[in-house]
Amino acid sequence: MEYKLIKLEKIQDFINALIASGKQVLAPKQKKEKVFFSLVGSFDEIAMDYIQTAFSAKSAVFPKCEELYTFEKNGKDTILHNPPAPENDTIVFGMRPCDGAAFDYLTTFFLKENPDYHFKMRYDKTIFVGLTCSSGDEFCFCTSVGISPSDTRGSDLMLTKTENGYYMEIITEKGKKLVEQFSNFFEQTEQIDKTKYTANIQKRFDSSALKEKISGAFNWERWEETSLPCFGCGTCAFSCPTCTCFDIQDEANLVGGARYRIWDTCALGIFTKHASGHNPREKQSERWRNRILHKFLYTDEQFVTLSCVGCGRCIRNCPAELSIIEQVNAIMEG
Amino acid sequence: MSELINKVSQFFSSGIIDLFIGYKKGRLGEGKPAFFTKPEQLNELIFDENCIVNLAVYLRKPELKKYSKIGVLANFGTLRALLQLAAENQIADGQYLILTVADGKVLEFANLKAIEEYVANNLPKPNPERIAFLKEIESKSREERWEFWTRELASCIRCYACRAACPLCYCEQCLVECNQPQWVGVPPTGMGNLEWHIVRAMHLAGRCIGCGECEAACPMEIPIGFLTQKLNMAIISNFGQVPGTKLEPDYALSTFKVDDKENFIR
Amino acid sequence: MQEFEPKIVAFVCNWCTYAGADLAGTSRIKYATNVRIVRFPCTGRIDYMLILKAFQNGADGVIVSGCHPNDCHYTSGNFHARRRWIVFNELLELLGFDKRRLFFSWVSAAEGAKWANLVNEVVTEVRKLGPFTEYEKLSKINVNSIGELCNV
Repeated sequence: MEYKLIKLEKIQDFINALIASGKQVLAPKQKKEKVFFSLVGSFDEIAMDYIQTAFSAKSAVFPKCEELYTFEKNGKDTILHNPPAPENDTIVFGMRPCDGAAFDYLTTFFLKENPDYHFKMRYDKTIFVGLTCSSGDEFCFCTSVGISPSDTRGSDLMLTKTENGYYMEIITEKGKKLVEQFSNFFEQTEQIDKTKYTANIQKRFDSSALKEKISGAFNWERWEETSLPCFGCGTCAFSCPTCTCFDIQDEANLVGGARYRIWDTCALGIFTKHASGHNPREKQSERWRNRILHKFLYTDEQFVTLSCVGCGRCIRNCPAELSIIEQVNAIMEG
Repeated sequence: MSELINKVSQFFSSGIIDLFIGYKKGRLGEGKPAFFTKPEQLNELIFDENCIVNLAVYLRKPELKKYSKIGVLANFGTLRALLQLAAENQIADGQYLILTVADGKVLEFANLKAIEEYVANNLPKPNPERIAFLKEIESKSREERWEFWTRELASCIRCYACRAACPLCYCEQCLVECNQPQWVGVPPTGMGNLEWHIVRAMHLAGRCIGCGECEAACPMEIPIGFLTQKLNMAIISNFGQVPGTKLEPDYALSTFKVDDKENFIR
Repeated sequence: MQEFEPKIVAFVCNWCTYAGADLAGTSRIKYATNVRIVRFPCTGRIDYMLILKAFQNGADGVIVSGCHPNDCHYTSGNFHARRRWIVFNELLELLGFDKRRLFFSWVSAAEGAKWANLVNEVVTEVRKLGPFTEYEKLSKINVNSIGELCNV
């Protein structure tokens, strides 16, 4: 693996050069209290001092709404059009290691058996520049699910802030090509030990003990009691870096229209409502149970990966302040 | 605080209630919703001006049906929501035990009429910061306002947290779920999002009690509370009907006056 | 180049305005042909979402018209409609929606000439404003471009 260094004062020029070259740069930007991944027009718009963005980097490749195809009438025929491929590369700058590790699950889900055309189209043209976490808060629990705050999975380039500048690990070919294009900003360097620049995140629970306890948790009698504050909005699933459920909607008029893929969430009642009116997950407690078991049990059984990366967004964003950490600990207690 | 805890404890031990909905300390010091079923749990009960979640939103949850009598610790928004829900026949008098804390003293409401009186005597003045923000928006040109709102609403992800957090949004089947006809586009395009927020604002016009939960729950930090606030202000100034203050229904959009202004009609 | 001809959709009540429009026809009054009339039993039935749907589907201007107050065939439908329009107008004003393209009027069954004049006025005003692309193009926002989708 190659290692580079970019001086602290040069990172601004590097980002501005990326933007000037026509690439779309998505970086953390502060709105009011929260920080979101947003298109930035210059380095100054990027938020530097934050723990975690409110929403994850999955939006760059699996956005909240995308056109699958458009259709129009032409006499007696119907013509379909594929969506235009993105013209330029997208650079996701400042992706935390938990989001990066989420791509293990996302790429398994979308690309492994039947590669998803739209996900692949965007993923191939997106370069992920990760950023090691130098601090965390009490809602981070990546270390409890087998991820470290300096994990390089999912990133094409990995940055770690040091006293001398940003230490960069070149992880993939895509990352290497980008560095070669902008080589004048980088200096060669030796491999360094990232430990002293990496946050120390305490384990919130023991994941192997959880694995044992969770397989029998479907009939746990405390699901209802622990999920009472949940009012069933979609925020946790939408901010989750590994949630992939989607809905397909058509919008059309007499001459044509489009088919869209949009985010969907199991937290909403209509997610499982049948056309007959029967709903197998009628109560919010049943929907909450589904979410927890999906994250810690079902995907493990199906894909051999947990679909929780410990980013803590669901806890920070929840308007009723439910906590997946508290929930898991409650299950462990029994 | 100890007066509150003692009182609720007594309600439990004398069998008056078997569930108490209140608050406990949240992650940033504010109050988060908490459900107490045993008096031993009550040492975590808190109530202060940072307890802003409107607990009336939980009252129609089916999981609560198994409790025979529920007590609710109500902040001002919750009291107004209870009145509005009663006016709309969603809750009955005596169905819940309602408590609040004012000037350090615990107040127990004997019935909904007592809440009506309390609300009438304590209606707060509108928040000046919010009025200033509205004035600022209204001073912009039409194009600037359109640009501002369509841009803000474009970032909506249609999580429906605003709908879920609102105690007055209790429809078993929301208009958005209707597809014959499709009134509101489901995909979060600029159009679908604008349609959703227009429908939400119109369905809450004259019913919104101004608790601000919609805006607090919004994960994208969109100032949606201003849409319903503006409509409420317009209804109060045009028709004098204030939601969440009367037990008798007095809904602006199902009533009319013969001399309602019509200077915009040709 | 052909001059822009606006598409106007009119939501009218059956008992007054529709009859008034019919009278304009039987009286052979000539007026602008840009209007498409949609008949409702009463203005009280007109949902504000329908007005938005008309704009979404390409209308450049919308007319909503019914019986004069106290003349409603169903006694009070137009009073309820008027309330609804007052509140809806406040919302559109706050949002910055182009209200110059939305017209409300009372036209009775005897006012064929008023109907014709109204349509002519509306068409002239909307022709000056040009095609209403501002609203329609919202359908195209957030459908493809990641830059647009991720933009706070």
